[in-house]
Amino acid sequence: MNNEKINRRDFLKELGFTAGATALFASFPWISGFAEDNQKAIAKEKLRIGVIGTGDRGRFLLNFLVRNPKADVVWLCDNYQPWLELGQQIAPNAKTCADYRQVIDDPTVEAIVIATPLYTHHEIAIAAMEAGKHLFCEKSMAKTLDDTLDMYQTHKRTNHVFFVDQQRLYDPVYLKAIEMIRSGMFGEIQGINTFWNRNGDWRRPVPSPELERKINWRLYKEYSCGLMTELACHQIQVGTWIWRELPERIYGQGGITFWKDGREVEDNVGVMYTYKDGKRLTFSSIISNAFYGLEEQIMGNLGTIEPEVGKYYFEKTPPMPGLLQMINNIEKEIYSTVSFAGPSWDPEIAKQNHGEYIIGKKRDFLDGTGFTVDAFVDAAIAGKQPPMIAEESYYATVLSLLGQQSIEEKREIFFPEEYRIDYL
Amino acid sequence: MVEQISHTFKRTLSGAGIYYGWFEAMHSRFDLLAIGIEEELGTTLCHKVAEETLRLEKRLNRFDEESDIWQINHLDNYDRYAADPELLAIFSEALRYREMTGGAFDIAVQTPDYRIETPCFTVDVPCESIVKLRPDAIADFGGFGKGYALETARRIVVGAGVSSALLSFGNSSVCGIGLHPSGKKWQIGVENPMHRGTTMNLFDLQNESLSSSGNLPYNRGHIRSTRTGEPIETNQIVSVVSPSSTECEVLSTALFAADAEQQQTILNNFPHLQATGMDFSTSGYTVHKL
Repeated sequence: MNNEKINRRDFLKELGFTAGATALFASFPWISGFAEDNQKAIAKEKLRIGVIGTGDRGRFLLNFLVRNPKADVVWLCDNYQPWLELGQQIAPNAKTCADYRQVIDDPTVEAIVIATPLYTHHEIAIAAMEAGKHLFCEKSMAKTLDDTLDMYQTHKRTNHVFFVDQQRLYDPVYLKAIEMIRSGMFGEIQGINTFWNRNGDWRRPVPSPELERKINWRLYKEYSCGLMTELACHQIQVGTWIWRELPERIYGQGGITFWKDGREVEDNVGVMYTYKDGKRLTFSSIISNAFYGLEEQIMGNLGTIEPEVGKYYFEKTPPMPGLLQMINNIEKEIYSTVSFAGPSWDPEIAKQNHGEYIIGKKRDFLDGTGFTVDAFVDAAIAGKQPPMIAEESYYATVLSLLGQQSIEEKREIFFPEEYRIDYL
Repeated sequence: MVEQISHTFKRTLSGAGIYYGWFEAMHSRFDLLAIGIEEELGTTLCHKVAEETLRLEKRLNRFDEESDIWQINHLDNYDRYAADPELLAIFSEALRYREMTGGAFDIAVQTPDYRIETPCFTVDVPCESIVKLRPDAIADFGGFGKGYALETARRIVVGAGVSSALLSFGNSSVCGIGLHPSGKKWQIGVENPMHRGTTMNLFDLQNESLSSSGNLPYNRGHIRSTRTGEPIETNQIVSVVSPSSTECEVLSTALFAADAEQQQTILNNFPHLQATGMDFSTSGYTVHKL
């Protein structure tokens, strides 16, 4: 199973709900659009969507949209012709243009998807929201704190559906992990270590030199905030989600330590977010070593959870292998056996602590992007903004930008009150 | 209240409570899974079980200077140790198992220059005391304590009216109370230590326990033959199913350590026992009923 095939029913199944999901929706109200009743109500509807930005990410989103029977992609827009043509291969019936205003000015378009470079998000998003469109915007929301706040406030005022692609909010592994954390399985969460390491120059091929800044916009400060807004934004959100509070202080450092190729954004960053009572979330990213890859290590006094690997580990002796899987199955009312090591307690096995899978098996789908896109389509058709989505996304961007600010200004930053919204 | 008890509480699709609690005791982990109860009762039960288990550990751990067993092991010569009814019962039961296993199980096997024909302890019930029959006798309840504690836990859980539960102590002893919520028996497998994830044999449990003893490829020789005093090195696991957790614990060790004559004595004396031997090697495994 992968993102291409997994559907709403599979999504609920991954979370252990094969029928009805009242408890799930109570815990995670923003996914209530997947409820049977809500689905029936919109089953025959179709949402007319314009996709602005058909680069790599835009086409990734487009692939989910064209498979959704409730989505009708009517416009594709990009000011770089090769990408527009690639987009057309996915949605051949859509009209095309290079100017986003043409899409927004079309009164039959109900929703806009923005997958353009970061520095353009604010302008397009405000135009879309003011034109009464529902909006799905790639993360991060915007390049500056003021623009981010403006987008959020415009959303609240215009009152249309607004999603940002914070896909962890719709990732079954993360939802299950948060449920486990809230059940107290891992004790009090004391710290979260997040990292996203790669080994590559983060460049896209450029057919001719004058296109360098256009295509590799992520590397230049005029257009991008680099690793913080492109990568950290996802992981920082996990801290807000778990602790339900904002950090008091932010301190970051970074530099260009390896890819000295004319780029302006850092290729090596580390930021510490300190919460009340000293709890910390750290983010670090090095893009010249991929060994440790990507993870969020969520550490409680009783155990650790690693949602990217999809596993959790107890601090002390782990449970009988398979017992947690059996409990998972009992929850789903499935009969299963459990096998255990056999002879008396085996300290060597206990020490190895290979952990248990969060959803009872290895992750066999990519992430929550497909579900996020589907949820947006459902919400836009229903005209109902799910709780927390805009707010979690807002703070994810704000915290990323504050991290970047701290790196650039080489100082500790206290969370600025003027960017606090009525959430948390 | 016992600290360091963790638990989770969930519900089945039909709404039945699933309480899962765990704690550490006897250098191992105790898991309590109870179905059809509310979180509050589960928590109360798990605390009671933990308190009892840790209390028994305190009494039976021969390395703890405050334990009864340490005191007994350090008595001079043929001294007596004044024992309360519980300790008398524990010693009596352990000595009864020595008798009924033809000596294959003996709490005194760790005694220096141990000889099977020479008893090391006796119980003087009228005088309410444990008597050492050799000055250097060492009592070790390693192959008994977990089973006894599991039996105690079973009584607590059943006494509270729980009708579906699975108790596991240290991966080697499991007790299935009632039936799995599906209505079938709890089915527990023994893994092939050479190939993790492969089950050598499955055992059905309904108000029964399962205990396994034997060697692992990288951890062998920890059980000694009472006949020869030598560590047993065979690639074998012996599993026993019985209504009594203590019996399972003791007899799985005894059958693993027994020679042919002792094995026959055990099977004659415990005719209700389901005992299975599993021999494994890199090329495969065989399962045989004992």
